[in-house]
Amino acid sequence: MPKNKIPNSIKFLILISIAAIVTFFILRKNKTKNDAATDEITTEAAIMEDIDQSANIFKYNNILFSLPSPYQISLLLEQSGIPYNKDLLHTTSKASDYVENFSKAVNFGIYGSDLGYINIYRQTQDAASYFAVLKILSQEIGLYNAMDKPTIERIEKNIENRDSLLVIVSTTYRKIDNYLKANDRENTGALILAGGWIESVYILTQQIKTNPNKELMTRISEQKRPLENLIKLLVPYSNESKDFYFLVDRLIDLAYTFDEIEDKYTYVPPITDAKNKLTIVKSKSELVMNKEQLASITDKVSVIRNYIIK
Amino acid sequence: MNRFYTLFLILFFTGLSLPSNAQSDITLQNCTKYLEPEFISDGQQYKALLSGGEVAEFHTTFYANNYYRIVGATGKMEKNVIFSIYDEENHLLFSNKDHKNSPYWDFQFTNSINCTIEAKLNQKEVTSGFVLLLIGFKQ
Repeated sequence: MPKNKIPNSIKFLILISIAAIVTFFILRKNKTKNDAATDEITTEAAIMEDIDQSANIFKYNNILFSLPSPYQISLLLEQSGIPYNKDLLHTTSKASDYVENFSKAVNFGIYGSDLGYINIYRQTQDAASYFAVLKILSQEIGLYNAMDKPTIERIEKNIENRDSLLVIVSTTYRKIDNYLKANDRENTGALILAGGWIESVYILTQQIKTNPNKELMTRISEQKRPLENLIKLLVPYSNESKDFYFLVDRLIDLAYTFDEIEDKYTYVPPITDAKNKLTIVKSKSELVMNKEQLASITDKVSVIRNYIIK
Repeated sequence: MNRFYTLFLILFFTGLSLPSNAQSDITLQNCTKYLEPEFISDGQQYKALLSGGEVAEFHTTFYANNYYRIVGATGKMEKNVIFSIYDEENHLLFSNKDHKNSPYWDFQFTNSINCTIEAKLNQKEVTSGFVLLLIGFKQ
């Protein structure tokens, strides 16, 4: 049977038409976004005008919440002379049990925090198995671009070099954060951050049981604001699943306990050394946490962690 | 011939997405060159699309006895991001505006405190764009 051949010129016309339609929708989408953003700015501007004529704060998408690196807690533990305790870490054998995106993402954060702890204590014999788990989970979560082959090779090469590894792993986490935000997967990014924060605070609260130390107590009480920021990051997705809802609900409950901690702040003018591009902030803050509050925080963090690693 | 048309379309759509990616990459390079390897990233990237006098703000906690570096950038040219740091009572602790819009600044905190960082564009040079802020700490 003779084949009905479409002339190349017709094919080109069809392709151009498709390109034009797709372009129209792409530009239209951007325009809609811009229009929506313009509306938001207009509404916001009207509200802000009522409050303060000089203020022009774009409050819709541009309030960002930051969490301190979980590695800073591990560094404090190590610098305080508290010995390494592998029993506190999440076992790598559980990693293959995680099926849902929720448990994979939140446990990716937990294992990442554990790897930081191992690395800071220079326990290279344990690092390889934790990194292997992170590699598998990263592929399952779909982080191919952020955790690509060269990055994995760089981490493997530096597994015994504490300082280089800290920089590389932190940079990788930053790339992951950017990749997830750029791909509208902020929910996964927030879960990874949540896992990292919960694990670092869990290790801290467990270590203080056997190593009571004023500095560690203060570091626990300082988690009030990071916890508030974490909740604000997670709340928009809390209805995505039962697990998500439970996590947010428990974190809010934990925040109530943190709210009971007495907090005093005194402003002291900072000193700036322009030559060295350095500002020394000398303001004073004092947090007073009693034993009951510490016990309650320790229990609540433990319950949350046990739920997400189950 | 068919290959030519396919190639044409691929290049056409790739071209559509290039400008924004290129701007992001350059901004990121301008930030990271001041951060790593001396400072360890906190693992997050703070990005906001601003135009005119809009301000992005973010809330963070700085720990006692830690050194921090804050870096800000937008696009190719440096010194086009103005960032200011306020304490929890809204006292201004620092603004790079007083230091020729320096792209980075270091901080040492004698006590842990909660701060708000505000970032905006240097409107004399830039009217809109992505502002990127990175925070690093020192071991």
